[in-house]
Amino acid sequence: MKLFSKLVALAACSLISFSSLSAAERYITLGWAAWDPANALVELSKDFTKETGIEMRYEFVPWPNFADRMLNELNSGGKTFDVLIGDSQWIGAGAVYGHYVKLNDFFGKEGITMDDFFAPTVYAYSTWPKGTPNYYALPAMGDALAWAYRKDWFAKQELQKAFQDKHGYPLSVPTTWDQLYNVCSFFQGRVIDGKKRYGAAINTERGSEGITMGVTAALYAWGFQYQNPNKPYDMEGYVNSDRAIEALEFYKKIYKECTPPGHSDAYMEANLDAYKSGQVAMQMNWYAFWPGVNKDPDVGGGKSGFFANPDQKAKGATLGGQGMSVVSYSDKKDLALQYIKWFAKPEVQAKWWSLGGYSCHKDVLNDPGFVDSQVYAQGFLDSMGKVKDFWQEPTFVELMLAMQKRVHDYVVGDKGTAKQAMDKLVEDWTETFEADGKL
Amino acid sequence: MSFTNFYANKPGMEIKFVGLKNYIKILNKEDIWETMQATAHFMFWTLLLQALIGLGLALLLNKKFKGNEILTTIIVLPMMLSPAVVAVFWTYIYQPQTGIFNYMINFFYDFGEFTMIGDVQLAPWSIVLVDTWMWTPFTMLICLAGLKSIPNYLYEAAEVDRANKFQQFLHITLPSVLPFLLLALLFRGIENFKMFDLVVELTGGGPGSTTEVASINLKREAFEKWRTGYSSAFAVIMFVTIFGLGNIWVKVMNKIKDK
Amino acid sequence: MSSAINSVRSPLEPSSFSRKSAATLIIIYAFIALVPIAWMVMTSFKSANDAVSYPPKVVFEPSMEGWVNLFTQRSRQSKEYLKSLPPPETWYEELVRSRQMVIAGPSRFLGRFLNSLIIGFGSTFLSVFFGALAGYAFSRFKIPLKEDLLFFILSTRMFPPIAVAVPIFLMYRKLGLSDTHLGMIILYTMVNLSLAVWLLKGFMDEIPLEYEEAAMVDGYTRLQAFFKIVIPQAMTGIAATSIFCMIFAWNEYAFAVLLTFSEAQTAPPFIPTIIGEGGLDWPAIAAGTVMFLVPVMIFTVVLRKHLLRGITFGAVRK
Repeated sequence: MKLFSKLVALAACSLISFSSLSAAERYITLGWAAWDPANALVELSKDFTKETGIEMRYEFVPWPNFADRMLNELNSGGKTFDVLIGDSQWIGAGAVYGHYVKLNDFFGKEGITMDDFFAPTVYAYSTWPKGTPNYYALPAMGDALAWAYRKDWFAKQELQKAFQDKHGYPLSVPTTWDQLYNVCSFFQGRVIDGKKRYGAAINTERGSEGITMGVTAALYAWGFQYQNPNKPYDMEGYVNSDRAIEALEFYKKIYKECTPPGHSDAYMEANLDAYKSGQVAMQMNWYAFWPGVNKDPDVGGGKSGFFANPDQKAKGATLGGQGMSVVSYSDKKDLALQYIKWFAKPEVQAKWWSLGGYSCHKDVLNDPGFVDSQVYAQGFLDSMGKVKDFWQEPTFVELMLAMQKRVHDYVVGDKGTAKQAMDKLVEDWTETFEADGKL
Repeated sequence: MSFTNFYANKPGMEIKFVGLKNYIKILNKEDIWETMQATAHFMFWTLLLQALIGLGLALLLNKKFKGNEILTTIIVLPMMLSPAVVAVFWTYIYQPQTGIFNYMINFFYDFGEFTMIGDVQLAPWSIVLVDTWMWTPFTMLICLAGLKSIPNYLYEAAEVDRANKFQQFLHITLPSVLPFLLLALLFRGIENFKMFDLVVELTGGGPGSTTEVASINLKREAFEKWRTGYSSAFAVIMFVTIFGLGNIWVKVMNKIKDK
Repeated sequence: MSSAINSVRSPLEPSSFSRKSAATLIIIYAFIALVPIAWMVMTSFKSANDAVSYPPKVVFEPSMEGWVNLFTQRSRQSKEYLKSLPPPETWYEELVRSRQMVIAGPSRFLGRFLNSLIIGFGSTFLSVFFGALAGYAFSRFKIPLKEDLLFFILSTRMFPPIAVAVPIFLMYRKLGLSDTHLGMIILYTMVNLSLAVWLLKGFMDEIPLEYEEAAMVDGYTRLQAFFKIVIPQAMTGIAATSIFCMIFAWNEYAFAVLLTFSEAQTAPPFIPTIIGEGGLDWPAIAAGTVMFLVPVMIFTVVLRKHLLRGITFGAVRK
């Protein structure tokens, strides 16, 4: 038996190496971040290789280095990647500096229409200048910032009673940030099942984009605007509006009063860690992680619930997710386009969703069974309907780093006031736009 | 490059000569002075601690006891390791709830919950501590070399003059070791001024910008924002500072030596 | 030493009391210095749960989980799927299965480790080779402005790596050297050369001139004399220098993180990114750290005499 299985393995190995030899010229390399959905994509793409004989190679970069690595590659005109699933904010640089291939002609030729995709995702992932029918990517992975909570704890009788006594309404999924704060502070320091627990794990990371992706969730809920709607790049009185300042102060309050100790530099992984280890009652994170949370041996299997970003004075959620682009420096653009064409097929999109990816295709989202297919499906639809994104300007890295610094200085670093932080942010952003010739 | 507005990530952008504009911008920027302050704080305390502990250890080791050599090797070990890799591991040691550092501190005196890396007050000390752990052996070794170079007859003469141990230390040991110690500090000073790997992996410059030393700021400007012209100017300023301070230090050292 | 000869204690020798207390203090310090390293080794043999338990566990059931995770990529599967698989063949497969996962393939760690080896050895060889030539020249010949040149060579070490990295990055981009082994070898050679020249000059100064002169009288050319007489004589010095260069290249982070991404990435920028299934996998990181640090530790312990001499030598000579 053992010998036999070894022989089979040997045969399989030699077969694989043989076939990879013969197909060596026909392969494309796809770049993305190293996370759960990437594994799902590998699984999905096996069908593509089967259909076309084009081998797929991957390079998945861990999130903290993802932007650095990929933008470096693009800036230096590297040929490593043929297909790149790049973050939504890169689209401006991709289009303006010619890193991405413009896909309009190709879509027209292949009969792919952006009308098949959910409008907010097309706007966010594909277009540059924003909202114009110039497409540089196919919406690949819809995503937004949302919350997971411990359903099993929320259901506990004694906690329900204690919460009711304290706040006068039942403990349930918060629909506003005020309620969110009540729930967080309620769990902070509480002993459940013999262990001390904390309120919520929220984004506070300094190095890449973490804290911005957390603070904006609050800002959007307070109706944040990046610029004067009538006068582009006019930010004074918008970025540093009273509402924005209030939202920032609120975020700091949650950080100071409701997070586990040492939660000062946390993003996706650290939040997941805190949540899965039972440290916190809630976590802020991307939809991309919910399939994994739902399957987790410790907190999965019905122990977790999910909800969209709460509202306060307005509706809003921070956009995540990526579009799929063809790198203009690639030597194999035709094969890359073939992959995109295949990926856009409705049946492939349906399988993508079932494997744990977030499809943006209307056939998938409008399917009557969609909402019930997963516990987080409804929340996903709600969120995608109200998403807002950070600047997608070619200079977004500068804009992002400025916001990271100002916000982290205030929220975690205890420096100055919220007003000063936002005032300085306006200064930084103005300087960047001036250097870029936009102001 | 430092006189231009060059951006290495903007192909096709016209490169303009901007004169001293970059330099003026940098020197007027409050943030830059804050990073310089963070660097100065880090340098001052690491150098002070490493000088004191290093000298103390060297004096102790100079007493030639059994197992002396193997103990020296053990103490030197941290210095040979990769700062980046070590720093990653220290973040684990510093974990507020599960880390061994907090546990041990609280074992001796219960401070309750505290976090080394995430706290604005403590974060600068978390990097000082790791750097001291790593590099004290360096000052120690050089001081030891200094101690070994003191000829015995000096002490014999002092003994004849009935100088007590403390006087001997003050008038013989200290003056002979001082040039060595200063030299060690010069090397450490240069290294710590450009410190990057340890701090990046330990605190990443946070919380806020409390531990954002000059190198980290430079990296952000040069390799994330791609403000190549601007960051070249900053690099030049850093080099001039390091070189200037180094030269002053050498002059002081030579004066002490001449005495 | 002298006390062994004279039974009467010389006033210069420390008393046995002060010696003992010195030894005690040193042992305490050495212990404190060792705790982080020991903790790291222990963590690498812990299970993921033990690694984050509170209070920290000093006694624990050893597990190879971290090491297995370090070398493999795993994916989580449902229990039903696991049951459908044939029984695990190796102990590590069994371990992974017990965590409800299957091995999807080897991880990238080994490749990064090999990169570190290739780049480390390559640059060490080159810098010692050129360092020996230059050191010999500085040691034996009259060179105009010798002191200034030597100081200039040393001052290249004062540049913050990040500052130098900008022009190097732009140059490498043009030349196609970024993220290549060759590029990193050249870069580390450049950085190490200054140290190599300084150290080797010092070692060669100690070799008496007469040896070569005698050889040259016997009809050796200078180059032959260099290779046949000077090099063997300087072997200890060369060994010490090599180890220094090797340790530098091995530990270097700033250049590596800025100039390498995948092909030629070395271990230091890679280890921080070892991320497990949803969360930092401390045992795996500890295992990677241990594997990365152990060669250096062994070097340090085995070659301590040369190394310690090298450190003080390089510094004190100046």
